[in-house]
Amino acid sequence: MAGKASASSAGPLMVGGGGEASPRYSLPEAISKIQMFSLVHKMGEKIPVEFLVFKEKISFWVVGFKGILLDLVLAALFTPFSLAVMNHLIPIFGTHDPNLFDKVFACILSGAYSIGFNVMLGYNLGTCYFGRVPIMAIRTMLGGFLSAQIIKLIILFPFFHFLPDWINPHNVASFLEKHWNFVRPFMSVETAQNLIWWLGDVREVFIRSWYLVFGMTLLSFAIPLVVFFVGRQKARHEYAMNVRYDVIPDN
Amino acid sequence: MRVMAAFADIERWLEGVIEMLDPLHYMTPDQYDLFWREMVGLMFQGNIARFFAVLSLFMALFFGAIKQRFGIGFLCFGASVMFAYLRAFQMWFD
Repeated sequence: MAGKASASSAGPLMVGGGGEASPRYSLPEAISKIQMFSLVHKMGEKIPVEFLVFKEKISFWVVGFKGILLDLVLAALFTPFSLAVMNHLIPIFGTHDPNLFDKVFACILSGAYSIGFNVMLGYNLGTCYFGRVPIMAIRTMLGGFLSAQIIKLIILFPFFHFLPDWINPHNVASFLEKHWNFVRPFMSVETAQNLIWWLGDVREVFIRSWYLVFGMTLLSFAIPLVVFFVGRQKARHEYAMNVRYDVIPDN
Repeated sequence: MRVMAAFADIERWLEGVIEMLDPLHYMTPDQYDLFWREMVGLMFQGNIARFFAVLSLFMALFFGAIKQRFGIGFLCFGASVMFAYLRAFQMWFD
């Protein structure tokens, strides 16, 4: 009796984890969730905007934020590499004299993670950018992603601008001299001298690296925007066709 | 007795195989060192390295971004970095 009473007063059945204690989505889970929202919307069912409660929005934001954090490390490492390749300071494919292909490849490699992440978002969510709730979820995720990109640029700015001062030949020489007992098994005096000169040359690329990271970030952020714009047009067209041929009711 | 002799033969054959697995058994340490340097030089330099680096990066984007197999995507990205820069790493120690 009590069971019947509780079942009859349970209210409408809602899809999703709005009632979970603390939803913590991984990236695939968040993408799947948005795809599900979009599918429900495309089938003609309206999801109320309030369905996306605050903690779910936070979860989508965190997914976008965490997804791009690794890019901070990869950009800090590989962007100076690519510029050092262009300045003939580091060999790529075994040559100190890179051709145009090598230079372009080094550049793409430095931004490969960021580009790949955005291609992944665009590929999976391109046609989901339709309906109020899916759009809100995608925008929240992109907000986290944009925040992480801005924090990345803010952290890398002093790093790339102060690093040339920190690794000047005098500092490197005094560091090696101070820790020579630890360094000696790994390099000879001649190698250490080469390292000091080489780092002196490499200092040139760091400030330019930040501007390359900035450019690659803008480029990578443009990918989902374009894909979402195109995907939205496709989804609208599909929805209009479904309404016209009575596949779904016109709400 | 015949069975024991057969076992002894198998054991000798196995020892021979295991000995043959040690490349220093049939080449000098210098030759062995040169072999691997040439191998790295062949695989990680020039057009072969370019081909495999582009292939690995393409596979990284395909598996990581399109197929959502992130583990394979990262491995392919690592392979692409290796094909591009491993020779530079080796040249540093030459």
